[in-house]
Amino acid sequence: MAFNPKTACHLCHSRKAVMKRPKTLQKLCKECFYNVFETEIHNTIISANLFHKGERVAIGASGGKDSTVLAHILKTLNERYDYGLELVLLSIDEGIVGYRDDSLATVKRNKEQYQMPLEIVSYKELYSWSMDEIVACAGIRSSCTYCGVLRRQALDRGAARLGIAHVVTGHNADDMAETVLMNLLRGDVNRLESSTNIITQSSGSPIKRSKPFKYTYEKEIVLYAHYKKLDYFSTECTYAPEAFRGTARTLLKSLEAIKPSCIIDIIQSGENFKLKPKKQRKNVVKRNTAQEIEVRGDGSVSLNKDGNKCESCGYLSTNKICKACILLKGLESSRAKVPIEGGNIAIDGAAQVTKKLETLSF
Amino acid sequence: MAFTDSDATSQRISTSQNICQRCKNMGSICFSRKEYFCKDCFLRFIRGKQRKLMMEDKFKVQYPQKGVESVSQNVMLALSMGSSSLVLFDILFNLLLEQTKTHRGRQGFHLKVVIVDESTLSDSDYSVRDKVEELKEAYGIDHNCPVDVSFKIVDPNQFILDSDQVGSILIDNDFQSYITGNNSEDTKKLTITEILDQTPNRSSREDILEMVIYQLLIRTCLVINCQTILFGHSMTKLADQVISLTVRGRASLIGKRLTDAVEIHNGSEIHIIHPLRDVLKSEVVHYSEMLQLERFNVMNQKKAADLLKSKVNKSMTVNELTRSYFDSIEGDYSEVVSTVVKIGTKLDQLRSTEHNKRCIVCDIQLSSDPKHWLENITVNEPAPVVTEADINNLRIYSETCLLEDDASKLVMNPGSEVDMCYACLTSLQDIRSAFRWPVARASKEQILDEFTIGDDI
Repeated sequence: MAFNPKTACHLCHSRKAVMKRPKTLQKLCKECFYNVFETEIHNTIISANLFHKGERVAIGASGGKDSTVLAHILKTLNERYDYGLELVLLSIDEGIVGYRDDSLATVKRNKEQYQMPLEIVSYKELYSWSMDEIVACAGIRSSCTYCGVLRRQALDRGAARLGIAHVVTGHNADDMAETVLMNLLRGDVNRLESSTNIITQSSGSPIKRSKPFKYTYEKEIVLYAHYKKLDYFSTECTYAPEAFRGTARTLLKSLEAIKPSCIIDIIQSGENFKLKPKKQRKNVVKRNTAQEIEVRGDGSVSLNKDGNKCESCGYLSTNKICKACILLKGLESSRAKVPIEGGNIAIDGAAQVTKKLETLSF
Repeated sequence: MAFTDSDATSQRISTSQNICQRCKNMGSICFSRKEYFCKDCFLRFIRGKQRKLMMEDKFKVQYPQKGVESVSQNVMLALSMGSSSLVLFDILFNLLLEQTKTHRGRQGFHLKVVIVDESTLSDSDYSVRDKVEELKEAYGIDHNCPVDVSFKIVDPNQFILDSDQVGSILIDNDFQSYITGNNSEDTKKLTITEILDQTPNRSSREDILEMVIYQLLIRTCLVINCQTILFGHSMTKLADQVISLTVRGRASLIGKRLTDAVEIHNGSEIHIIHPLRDVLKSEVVHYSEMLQLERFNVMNQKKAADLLKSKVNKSMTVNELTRSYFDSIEGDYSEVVSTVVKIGTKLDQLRSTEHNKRCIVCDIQLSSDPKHWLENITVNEPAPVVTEADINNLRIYSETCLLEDDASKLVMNPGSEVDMCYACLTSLQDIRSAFRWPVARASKEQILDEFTIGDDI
């Protein structure tokens, strides 16, 4: 077919454009898209100094598009630019029948495709609760609260088990922008300045987390996975996303429709948020907090605020009991003493029920 | 405790049976912040909010001391002829009236009302000039009014006339902006409507217009010798601004636009105050309805015209989307408005690291280098052209398409480099042709700063 200069790729001017790049709306050919997509992620990794040679890095792998593309890209860049990384897949099995078991099957295939070792850590094994059981007990509305707290800890524990101090996750630019908006709408002063940090690490924790897709649009990840024919699991989690976050997500999508650059614009704004210095109270003698010892209500003392361990599970916590243990303790108190005969439909997993319904024919 | 717009409106219909909880005498006519109000108590309550934010001595009546006549402040009110600025006008007028009555004709400050006439920018069927005359008539201004209030209507095109010349701004693929073809004759020919028509979409148009009006107000403030500008933004409007400035990449302005800040323009300090910062939009609407201020409101007519243009989500602007978002969550998450404003007021103004660099378009001082930031996160390099067929295609392309647009002409005639802030850069980047913009001629000091290397003369 004859070459038409009007349909040429905006960058190379020699191949036919096959897509409109979501970030810049430039019409690009596949080759140029791969080039800009991969180089931008490489630039992000280099400018943030994310890795060092010989480092063992765990990729938080859910089997979804973000983590699958992340595994593919890190393998590609590691070989192309000689990062010298040892990459390992780390998956969390939340125990959502019909959803997570299918996505874990994808991760297991990814393990073969990318020739990377895989470690799976399950909620059931760590906390004696699966997400299906938690939802059956606490209701679907708070599912994200439980899952978020438990997953954070599970990733750390999985990495520690592998002797790895660095976990990379597939959080993309859309997630970042959504977090900036959420922190504003919730008035979360403590998190506002750090909304867009590419590396996060709890004080005193040996495990650091990073997000190489910080500036990568979700739509571009989908396009990349599509053109590269990557094997990923595309179903959303069955348990509804948190309702308020859902409103922020809808706002972001509407904004993106009228102003595609808004995702990066919000991240740029997020990086520029700076809180005013706190006003010093008059006539207050500055306390030497380093030498202070917290005496708790029960008479026990906290020896060290940073790097404190949870007294129940031994996980890093600034409080006496970590958030996960508090949530689990609440669940234990409301767990049914005698199970209903025939089993609870929710414990079987809402995802499984939905799946069964989908196969019914009338 | 966070009060919300829905608290204010929720039981408005059934209030006639209740007694005002403030005076315990009159029947209530509205319900706000979990309290029933009669008309007088409600007006007093809202006016109290303004007084709380304008407590400084400079707004109070000053008596001459030891024969030295005291000097009153000149205070400018930016009147958009929308609900909240009309409410603020009424509050200020009543404050000054009270001062003249209690202090034998003296008032704490001279009020100068400035209106930027946006009706000239579109084929609108309303006249701002007529509405201002109606407003003056209703308050008895010009008819031996005891209160000293003056009005000034500003033509938005004054923004261009204030400048020396018109430049053409071009942005290349590496986010570097250039200015070319300065022409001192052009300022008389170019109009704000023509400038706005160059913008690639309604959001950019809104962004540029907002900035033009703000700068025009600042300049007018100095021209009419005022030291303070009052804006009538309600808490709800300020919450909209926090989100929309964030979305537009103008987060550095949040600290300045929300809090009572000091704007330095041409070496003069201007105090910016938002006296209705603690008043909800629904309260503004109540106040406005009680005193029938809506008859002067031209923004309603402007909004109705804009709404026709933006029925579909895709043609809405950032501000319109943000507004509709707050409207949609008001029922379930009513505390969000005050939460957003509260966190917005905790944000600091960014200190400039790029000394003496200002955006050629919006004139804000640059706090970082947006070009460098964008270059770091955006790659515009093609994949190598290797096959023979592709090399041949490239040759065909070069022969037919090269130098078609202005951005390509830039390669031939780059002009001089200029600085732009992040938001203006991304907002105008989609324009393939040159963006005509009024610019000031570089001062002697600016030229010396840029080109002098040593101290020797």
